[in-house]
Amino acid sequence: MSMAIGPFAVPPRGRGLSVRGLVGLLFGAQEVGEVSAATGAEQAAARRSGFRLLRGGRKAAEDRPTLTDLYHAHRLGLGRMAVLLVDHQDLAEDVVQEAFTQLYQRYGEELDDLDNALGYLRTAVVNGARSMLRRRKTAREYVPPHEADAPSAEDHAVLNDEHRRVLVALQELTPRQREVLVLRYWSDLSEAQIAETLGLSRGAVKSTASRALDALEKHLEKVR
Amino acid sequence: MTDKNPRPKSGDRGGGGPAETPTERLLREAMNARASLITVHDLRPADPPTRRLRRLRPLYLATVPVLALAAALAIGVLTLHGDPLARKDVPPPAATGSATPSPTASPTGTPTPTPTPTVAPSDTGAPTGEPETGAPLSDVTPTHGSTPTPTGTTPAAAGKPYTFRNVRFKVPAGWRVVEPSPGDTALCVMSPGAPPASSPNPGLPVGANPDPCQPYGVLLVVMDQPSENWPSTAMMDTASGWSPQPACPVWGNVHAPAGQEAKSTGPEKSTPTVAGRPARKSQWQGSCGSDSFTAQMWALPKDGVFVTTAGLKADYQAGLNSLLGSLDLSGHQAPPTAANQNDVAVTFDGLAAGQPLRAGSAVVTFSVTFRNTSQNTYARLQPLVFTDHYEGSPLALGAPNDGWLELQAGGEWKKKAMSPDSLMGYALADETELFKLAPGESRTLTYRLTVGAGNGLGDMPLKAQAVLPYNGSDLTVLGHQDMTVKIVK
Repeated sequence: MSMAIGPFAVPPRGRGLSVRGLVGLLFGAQEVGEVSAATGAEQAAARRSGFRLLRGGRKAAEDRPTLTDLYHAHRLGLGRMAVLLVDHQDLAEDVVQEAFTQLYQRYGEELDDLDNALGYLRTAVVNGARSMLRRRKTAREYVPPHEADAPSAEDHAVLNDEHRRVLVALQELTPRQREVLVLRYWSDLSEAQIAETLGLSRGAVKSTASRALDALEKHLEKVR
Repeated sequence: MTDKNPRPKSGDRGGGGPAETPTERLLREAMNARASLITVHDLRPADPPTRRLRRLRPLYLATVPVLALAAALAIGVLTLHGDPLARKDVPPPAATGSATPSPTASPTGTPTPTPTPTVAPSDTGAPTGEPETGAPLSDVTPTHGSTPTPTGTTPAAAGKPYTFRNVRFKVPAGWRVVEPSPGDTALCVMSPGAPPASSPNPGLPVGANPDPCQPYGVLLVVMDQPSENWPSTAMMDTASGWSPQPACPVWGNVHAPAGQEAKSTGPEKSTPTVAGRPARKSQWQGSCGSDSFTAQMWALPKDGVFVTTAGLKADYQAGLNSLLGSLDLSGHQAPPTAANQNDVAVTFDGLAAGQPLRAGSAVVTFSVTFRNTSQNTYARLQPLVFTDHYEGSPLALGAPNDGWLELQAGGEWKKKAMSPDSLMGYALADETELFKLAPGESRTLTYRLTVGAGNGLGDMPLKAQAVLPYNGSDLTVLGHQDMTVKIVK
């Protein structure tokens, strides 16, 4: 059962057992592609994790990644998922940071008491995105764009018109419909996983996805 | 780097499911393209949480002191200003409007003469069919300072009456209202110079919703409960409080600010009278490069009403003033205060306090009745029923209790959050579950609790609350009932 949060473009490169690889093994997630972009903190986390293994702690299969490990391994993937939900990179990063903060508040750095930290984070991000959207909607219908979310000219070139129309149509859906589509078609979760993440029945997931696709097609037809 | 790893088509999953449709494929590609715009280089510097700085308890627990403060302020205002409209009585549903003042016992026990609202509470705006009264019900201190002087090219005469969340005003001639969605707390009134609704918004990033109100219109915000969200009176004291985000509301050139492009000075504050009530106004001067703009915000703090605009062309200032001058809050119910926290009586049926429930096998159906014991009509009440944390909660601090809590709706059981969470996801309102309660009315809902095996021994709290729809800021509780059930093995 894949627990991937989202797609990562570049296949894992051979670097021995990095912390990301470890996280991937333990959580079934794909390794983040931008390995070469690992920050000093990430490398420090890898070193720390490696030290723990060297000094003869628990077996690797039982050794759960720390929150910091998870943070460096999944911040990007969760951020990408969040940006599809809130359509704003700045807000998406806030949501992800809040999810990790929430996790830290409850469990601290060691996550030994948590069976599915990634599932927890995914649910926290979805809920946080909903809450964020609600706040924005409450405040006003629109929040002016922030610089961080403004795509560059190159980004515009990357997004073709058809993709733009789809993304605009996606934002026209209800939050629940959008969540289901993002989790299904981007995070590639099964219906059961989506149901668990959103607290819905599998039937509700199926019907919501069906209705969401219908609504999406109608929106697309309108702008064609 | 921007592409995804190969994915199974939907037909590949179940070994016989339908193949992916073109729409599904397009959706995958579009989401992939959007997500791939964000790389690790674009993210803020990594900052894994290392300190427990934020709140550990659900926000609703802090509501009481917030409401207490609000009550203290309200009482102070009542005492000092004697505002006769601080509290509203709402007639029975069938009653028709009357302008006859009637003495009313306020929650504090002080008789307060208040006029009866002439409209039933409603959450959506709608044009009113009532005859115009001619003279505006309020006056507005003329704007001054750096506000551009109206040139008079825009008709300033009041036009069609409109009601938004029981706040009435007249749409200035030539202006138009952007119809709100149910539940909206903000309404955009567009100036005559606004581009057509269907026109594109050049300069906005892909996927950003168009913002027709900045700079082309005026935003009327009517809150029905305390909120920390923008706009707020606290933000009226800050240098950038005119907008919740950096923005360049330049007339004809709306765009996302580049770097530190957006600058503003102010606020210049004043205390005009709006709708016959003391109001606050803040005004800022903003600039984006060589373009400058004026931002203005009025607040009726006690009523939770704001009027705000940024970048509006000077030609339309007269229309804005006209709109402000026509504001009528006599039908608007002020946000609740601490005095309203027991307006709704909440009772459990079918479940006794201390009733033993076996972890892993107990399934119990019970009902919760919400009864409005106040004189206020609540148009949108949200029921919240959940189990709270206790010594037998299965995991560490904050984890939900094990099991299912379901609400019977439309012949089906709908799963609800078992326990609160700090992100308040459990409190997010489902529009289909909101209900109206007029004075004396009640609503009974049926729940089913399945106690999971992961719950330890102890007294598990079961809580029911009637709240206003969660607004992302505070949870306003209007009635609650707590009980405990005994979890046994």
